[in-house]
Amino acid sequence: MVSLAKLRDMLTWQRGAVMAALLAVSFVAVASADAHEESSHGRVPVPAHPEGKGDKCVRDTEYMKRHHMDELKHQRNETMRKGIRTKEMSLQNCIDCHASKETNSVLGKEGFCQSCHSYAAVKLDCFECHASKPKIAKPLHPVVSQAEKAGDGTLAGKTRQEMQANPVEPNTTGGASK
Amino acid sequence: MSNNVDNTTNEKEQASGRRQFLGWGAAMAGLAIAPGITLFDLAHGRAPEEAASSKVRWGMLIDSGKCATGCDDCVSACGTENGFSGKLETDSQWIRKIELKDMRNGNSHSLPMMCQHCENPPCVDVCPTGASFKRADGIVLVDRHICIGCRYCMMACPYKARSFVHEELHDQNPDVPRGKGCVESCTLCVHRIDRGGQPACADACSAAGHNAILFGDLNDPNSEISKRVASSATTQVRADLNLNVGVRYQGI
Repeated sequence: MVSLAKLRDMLTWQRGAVMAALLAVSFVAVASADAHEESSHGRVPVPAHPEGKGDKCVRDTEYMKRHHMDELKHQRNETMRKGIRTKEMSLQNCIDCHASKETNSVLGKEGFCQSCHSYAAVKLDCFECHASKPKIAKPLHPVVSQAEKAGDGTLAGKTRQEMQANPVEPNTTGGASK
Repeated sequence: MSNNVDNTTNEKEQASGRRQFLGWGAAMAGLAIAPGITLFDLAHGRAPEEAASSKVRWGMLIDSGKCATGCDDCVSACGTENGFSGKLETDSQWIRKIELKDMRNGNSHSLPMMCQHCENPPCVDVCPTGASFKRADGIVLVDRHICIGCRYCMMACPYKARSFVHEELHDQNPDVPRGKGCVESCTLCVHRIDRGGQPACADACSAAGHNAILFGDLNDPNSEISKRVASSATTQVRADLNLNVGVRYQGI
């Protein structure tokens, strides 16, 4: 005959086991859902990033997701106000690498910038002024290129030319000697 | 240094010796401290991480005697460099050619007119947001990020140098961001200067063989432009306003 107390003990143990099993099942379910989302985005639409051209970004992805706007804003002020034109955090550097291989742009439905910004509903107004395509080596102004072909040496500033031709000539190093 | 030299031969010699010594010092300092890294570039190209310095003041000297009537190479070079399509009715104008004619004797001049890059710019004075500003090296610019397009600066400029962008623009030059709703003017091709170049108009003018536009550092007594400003009569347009402009004219 089983005493009442023993029966209660048994039930408690069974309840614990059932709870543990349920927890385990739900954990596995969540984990598999995560894996599923990463592979095919599941039911939640996630913007598809085109692959960048370079090996890796200037910072890791998590940092860039959170802070790219701060870095760009910092850089813009440095460049605009002080003329500091370091490449690493410049918008041009981002675009050079992230422009889509098909459209050669960071805009458009599949564009690196626009796809994510429309997903997050954040207005993207950089490209009202800034070019959304990488810089291409443009042909020079016709007059300039003609002169270059003709071997005319008057293109660069005279000071610069003199200095390049004669780097240790004391009279031409005035800017440095101040 | 050279400005303080007296007329006596002895002192002249001393000064030239001093110049030479300083020059050699500069040459030594310019030597590479590591491959690819120099203390400073002997030409005006700064390192990308180096801020523009107030030791430099960029300016231009325009010789209207050499500026050919009817030639607009500088204007079209500016358009190509800075991405003016030429198709818009409201297209900006950063540089324009002006013909001056003395009606009494028929003597005529031609000259380009653009932002004069004043030392005391009225556009900067009136700007309510601080968008209009003067960089340390004397280049007057508009920070489009904070320009609200009020056009006060256009009213204040005595040289009519500024334009307002009325229409949406596309396919800008990556180095020259431009867009609707902002005021803009000649930047002295700041993106070229930062890389050690000179403005597109000056390049085009010398490439065409006119050599009417001389670009250089007005603060450097040994620069070509300073020597010419020191040795010949040059004019500041509207000198009565005491703006101390960076663009000087010769022969007007």
